[in-house]
Amino acid sequence: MSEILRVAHLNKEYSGVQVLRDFSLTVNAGEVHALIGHNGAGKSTVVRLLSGSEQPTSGGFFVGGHPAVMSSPRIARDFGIYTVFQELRVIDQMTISQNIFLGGELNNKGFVLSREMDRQAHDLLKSYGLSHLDVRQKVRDLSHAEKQLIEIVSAMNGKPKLLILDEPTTALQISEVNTLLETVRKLADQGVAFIFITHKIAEAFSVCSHVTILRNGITVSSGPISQVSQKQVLQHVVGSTVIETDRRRELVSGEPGGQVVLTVQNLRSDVLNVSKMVVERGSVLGLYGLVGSGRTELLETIFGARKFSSGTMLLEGKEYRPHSPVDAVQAGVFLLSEDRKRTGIVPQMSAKTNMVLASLHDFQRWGFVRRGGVNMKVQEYVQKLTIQGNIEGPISHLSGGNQQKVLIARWLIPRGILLMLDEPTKGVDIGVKAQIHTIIRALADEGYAVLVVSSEVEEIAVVSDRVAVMANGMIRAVLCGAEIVERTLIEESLVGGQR
Amino acid sequence: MTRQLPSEFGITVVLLIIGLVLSLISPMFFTTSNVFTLLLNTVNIGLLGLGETFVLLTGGIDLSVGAVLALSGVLTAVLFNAHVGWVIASLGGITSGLLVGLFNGIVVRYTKVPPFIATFAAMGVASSIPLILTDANPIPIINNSFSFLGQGFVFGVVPFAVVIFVAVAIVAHIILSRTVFGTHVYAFGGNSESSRLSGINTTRVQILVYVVSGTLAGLSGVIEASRLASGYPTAGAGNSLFEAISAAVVGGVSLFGGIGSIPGAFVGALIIGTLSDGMNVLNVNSYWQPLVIGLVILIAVSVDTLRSTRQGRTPKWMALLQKSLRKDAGPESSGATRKDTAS
Repeated sequence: MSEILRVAHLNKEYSGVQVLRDFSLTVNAGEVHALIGHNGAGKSTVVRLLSGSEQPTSGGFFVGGHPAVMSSPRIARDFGIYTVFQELRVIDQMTISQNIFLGGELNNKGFVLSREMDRQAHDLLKSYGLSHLDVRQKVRDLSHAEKQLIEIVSAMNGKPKLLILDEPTTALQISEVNTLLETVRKLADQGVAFIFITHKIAEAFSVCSHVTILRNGITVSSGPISQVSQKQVLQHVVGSTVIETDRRRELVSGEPGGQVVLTVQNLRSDVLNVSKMVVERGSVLGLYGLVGSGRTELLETIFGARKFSSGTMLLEGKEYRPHSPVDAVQAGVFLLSEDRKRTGIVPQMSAKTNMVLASLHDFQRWGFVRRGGVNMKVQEYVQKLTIQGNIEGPISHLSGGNQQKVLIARWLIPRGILLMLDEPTKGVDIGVKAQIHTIIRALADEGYAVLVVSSEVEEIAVVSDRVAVMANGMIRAVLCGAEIVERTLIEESLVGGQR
Repeated sequence: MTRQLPSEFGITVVLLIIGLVLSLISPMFFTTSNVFTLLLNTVNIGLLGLGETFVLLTGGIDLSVGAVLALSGVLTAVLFNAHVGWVIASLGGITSGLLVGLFNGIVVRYTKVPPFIATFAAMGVASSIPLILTDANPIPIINNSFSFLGQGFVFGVVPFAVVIFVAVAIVAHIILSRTVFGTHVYAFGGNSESSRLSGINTTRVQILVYVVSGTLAGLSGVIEASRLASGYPTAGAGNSLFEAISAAVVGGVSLFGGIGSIPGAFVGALIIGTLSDGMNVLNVNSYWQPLVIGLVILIAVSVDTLRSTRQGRTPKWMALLQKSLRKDAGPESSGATRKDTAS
């Protein structure tokens, strides 16, 4: 069988943190490789490297046996390697055929041959069993699954040798998943190779010929799928690492069961269906689940940043119905958002101003900001949270960990009752991570009710008094005390995802 | 770390260089009377530019300011001729600007129509009303007290309008740099989503910046009416809108929001004012004048765009300036700007 792509000893570091170690893989024509791993295992990194979006710190690529440099997605495409990312690249406002030919428009001396493109697009769709779609339809009107198929068809139009599908089934219904897997099988028979990134084990077994399992950036197993069982794969995914129970015991000392601060009942929205959730004063409720399980959406709903259709929320016994974040902040409900860059920092402003952004009204007299008051408060939190760097300079000049601490301080300065932290240690280095965990525990001890969302099992296990596991917008299980072990968490979240 | 120069430093140097060159070429330029004439001619662009700065800082744009200038002047004249007294008439003119601004803000906020279109529509409306009211004829205002606004002098040499302009600039600077509202303006322009999630009342911020812009345009309409001793329905119809936006942008206010300052916009207005005045003093053919101003604006906007695409880096031209001004710090600063290109 002809070798299409071989990668040897890839390593990748982000600002000193190694996220992928010694990754090697050989893909032959017609093979379907599954790349399995849990949140943060390094799957997305592999996709970014293979698609040419990012360069490895070290290691090499061989295309058809010859050394190659994947310096950009365009060059990867020239090698016949196409990638369909989890976040789709189709342009909503354009038609199906325009999307299929995007970047490779058929033309005659610069004039686009729309009819010819429509005709060819129609034939293409037909050959993939999608003839019910009108090629002149705007992509906007398609379902997510259809958009994904369009993107695959578009990639197929470039005659790829290898197609990388990044978590292609996360947003799909069961019937749609089957259509997709069927398409993959058919194309593989025609000699196209696939790398199929997923965290769903059953899916991998239904379509793949080879399987590679990543955990914490390390390849723990790789080989033909016939040589392993589903159970073994699960074991590899989960790993044998036990949560450092010592650290947990050291952090979680107080006994849970304080006064109820927030009660959520029968909360329903387009993506949520939460029958009951309770957060107590002085304790940390962890919210664990895969990406897309509705964790972030739940926090945003409680914060008034997202609408809900029915259900009730009680805050300290009183009805709580936030229409906007302004309402939530006034009620003492704060959210540290997940995406620090997009929804957290104001990059041009100083770290100092960023820190007091949510509490400026506490420092004003007749509309004027009392600088002395601000400086004192900021100094207090710089010391309390050991923030390093120039706080007078733009926050974008600080390291990720210090930016995160500034944003945490943003919500500590105004006095609140419920603090929600979405991925509080995303993109911060290990040392700061431990500090943030200690801060979270200290906040609970001070009397805050804390809600923490995290994709990292260890993190959830270390900081939480109780853990709610979410999948498909529902809370699948609530674990407390000794039940909080890595394995249970992962299994619960996967079971939900499998449905 | 070397001490950072304020970001207005660069353009202030540019202004000084332009001034220096002009005074070397023409002995007429750097005289007390010409400098104050220059300042007086800058008042309108300056006031519009200050208001525009608030809007630009939020990432919006207000195209209606030139039309509001005419509307406000004509309304003042109409009210004055209806015998309501010049103070009330002037306040009426300013209020008309405030209302147009409020309208702009509400439309932009609640309909999500892009500010460019919303304020362009408002510009059409606001520029038609004075023409309809007056049949395109100027309406005279004869009143000594009123004419002091635009024609009077303090201490015999300083035009009163310039005093108003400087006072407004100082107040605007204090509002933007010292108040909660001002901080929220920068935050909204810098990252509207972060601001919303910080519990900032972004609706109020977004509407108020248009109100400020409209009000200042109204004020400048009243001053213009006083200077011309009449309400001109076509006042502000020419280049004043674009010169006002340019003043702000030349002064370092980013079209993308979040970056810029009142002192910057103030100096920017002076640069535009100095260029036009200087060219008049030098008797530059009037056909050439817009060309020169256009080029200056183009350069300034390019610098702004380059700066925001490579965020956090000192623009090369500014690094060069800093270097040439403080020779000892030379090699280090040029090394810092290169860093990104190398990797």
